[in-house]
Amino acid sequence: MSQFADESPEDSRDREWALVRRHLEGDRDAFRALYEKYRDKVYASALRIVGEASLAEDLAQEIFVKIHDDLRGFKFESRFSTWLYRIAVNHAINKANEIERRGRIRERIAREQPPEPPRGPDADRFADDRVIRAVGELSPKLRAIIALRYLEGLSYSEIAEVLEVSIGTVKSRLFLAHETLRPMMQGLSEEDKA
Amino acid sequence: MKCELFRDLLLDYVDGALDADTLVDYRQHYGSCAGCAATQKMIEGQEGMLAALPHPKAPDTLWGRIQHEIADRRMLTSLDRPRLRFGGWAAAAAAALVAVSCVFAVGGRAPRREDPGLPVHVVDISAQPGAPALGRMVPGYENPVPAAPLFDTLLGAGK
Amino acid sequence: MKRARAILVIAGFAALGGSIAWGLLGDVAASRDQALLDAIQDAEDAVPFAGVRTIATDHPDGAVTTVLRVRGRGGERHIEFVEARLPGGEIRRPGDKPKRGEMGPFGWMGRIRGIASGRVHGGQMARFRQSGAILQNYRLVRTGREPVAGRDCDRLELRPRSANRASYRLWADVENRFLLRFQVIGAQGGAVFDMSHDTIAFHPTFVPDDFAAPVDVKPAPAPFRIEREALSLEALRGLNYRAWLPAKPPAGFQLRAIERLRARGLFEGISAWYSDGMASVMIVQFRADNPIWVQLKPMLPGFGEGNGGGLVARRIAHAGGTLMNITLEGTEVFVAGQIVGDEMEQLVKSLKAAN
Repeated sequence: MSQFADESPEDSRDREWALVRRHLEGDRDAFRALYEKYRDKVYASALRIVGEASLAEDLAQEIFVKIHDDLRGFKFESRFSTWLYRIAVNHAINKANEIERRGRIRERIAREQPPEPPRGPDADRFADDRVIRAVGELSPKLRAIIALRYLEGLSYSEIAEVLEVSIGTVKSRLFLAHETLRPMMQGLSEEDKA
Repeated sequence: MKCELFRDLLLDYVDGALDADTLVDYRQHYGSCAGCAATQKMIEGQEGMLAALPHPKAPDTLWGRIQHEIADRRMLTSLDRPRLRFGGWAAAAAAALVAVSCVFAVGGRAPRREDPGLPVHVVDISAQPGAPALGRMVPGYENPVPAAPLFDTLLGAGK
Repeated sequence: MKRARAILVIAGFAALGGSIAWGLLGDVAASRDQALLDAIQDAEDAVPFAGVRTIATDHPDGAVTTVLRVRGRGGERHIEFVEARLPGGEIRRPGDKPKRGEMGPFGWMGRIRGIASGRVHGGQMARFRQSGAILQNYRLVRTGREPVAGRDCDRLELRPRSANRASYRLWADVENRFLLRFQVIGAQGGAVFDMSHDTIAFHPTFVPDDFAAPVDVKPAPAPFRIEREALSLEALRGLNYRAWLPAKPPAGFQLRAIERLRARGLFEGISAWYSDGMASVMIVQFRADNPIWVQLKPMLPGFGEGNGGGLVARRIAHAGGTLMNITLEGTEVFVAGQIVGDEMEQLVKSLKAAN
């Protein structure tokens, strides 16, 4: 994805810290570089958690503006990515909770229901849609765990750092997410096998 | 191995993180417990599907929106900093303002001196005849988003 | 696109300084309070209703009581003016001629039957859309039950966390959370506003005409039609006069929106709306050399005298709030806020050029 794909985790961390320092010294390109590296990840996670594209875009904007504002307080103790994900996930969960309270997310999901399942080359995309919808049925906290694990590919310890919980909690939440998805995704696994 | 422990280890197994001894016990249980085996297959199947989901890309408009908002916030925060002004009533305080502005320009962390603000003299005209009518310019409570009653009132008065 | 920008600006400002309209409130109780405010806000759109409401407003020159017939369904509202009782006992009804020199709704609106009909989102309830901001600045207290218009209601109070603020009482229907009564208690005690339903019917049977615009509505004469356009802070740079915004708004208040108001050929100005979730401060400003203003100004009480050198701000204060006026570098600035005490003066003193 980036020119830095082959670098070690330490190199990546140091490179990002250097960008943060440059930003704090007034280099306007530095923030842009950080943005370019994480824009798709932040947007994708936001989308998985709040479930709708326009909301995800608003949310991604808020998140990056907050990151820009809060960089002054960055402590150079954790990785930049951990710090960024923490902000992104907290924002997204809160926004999703707010939407949940209004009970509208289910309506939105129902409205996006395709009239009938496509066959042939479209079948894959249809399966994806159903998986996405199934994830949308989870609570915002569980959606976040799924996004961090399967979208961002974070390890359990990284997720634990982002969410500021123990690794045990991460695993039990992930397990709970899978169990909750079971009835919704069961049909799909069978189709897969067919 | 009991089912409870199997479930606790399941995610680590899928991750390939179990040590050799635990792996033996784990596989043994998998072979002898249909329920746990089904759970493992379920999670492996889901992992496959979730990892294969498309990665949506952020829209191109996003950067522009972020830039605009940062610029707006910068403008709003800059209102709170003493600024170097020429002429007018600020001329008298220019020396102090220059000192503080220089500190900010260099990025120092000097403690911010309290900005005294505009040297305004307030004249209360509440008791003037006709003042109560003017007082209606204060937003009412009928509408939480006041519709600039000042304009309506001023224009109405000018009719 | 401009409207979208304005909304983004608003969302950004709502997030400034840690106060977030999405409600980053930690504990369970706070979430419950927020859910209640959200439910009250949703109810006006969610529950079709028809009824009669009385609005009593305390004005400096006496209380005015207005009776309105109201209907609502989804985002649609239809409001009819039934009658108004003015200070001194006079009663004004639709069709009555306004008296010479009368300002406000009892001027040229007196001839209109229906005050408003059309797609409106909000009214009282739009206030609670900012439930997160509200709970940062006010405490929600449940004070018991009381019937309104024959319906059982939960009585709630929003008590301000800062001094010199009004408090608010809400009566929300126990079953559907519809706001049946809303009262504002001024900072000095005593009600300054009271909206109360005399009658209410939920899920009434509507006829097609119920939400049609009344036929005898006179549109405002062309020169007085006010155009409104959302503006971003950056767009202030394009104005041909200085725009002023406070570096120190009152505690809990944040900038929510900026609008340009135009009455073509006559008037152009901008209006900045600050709010703490419940109370509002409006800052309206325009070029001080506007010909209409130049003619009008000497006729306004207290505005005729010269400044006598030095910067003078005029103030009118009453139980419902404060109005201040100041001329700064060729811009006439009016600040009208639902707050009492020193904070308005601090706000005016902290005005800075935003362009």
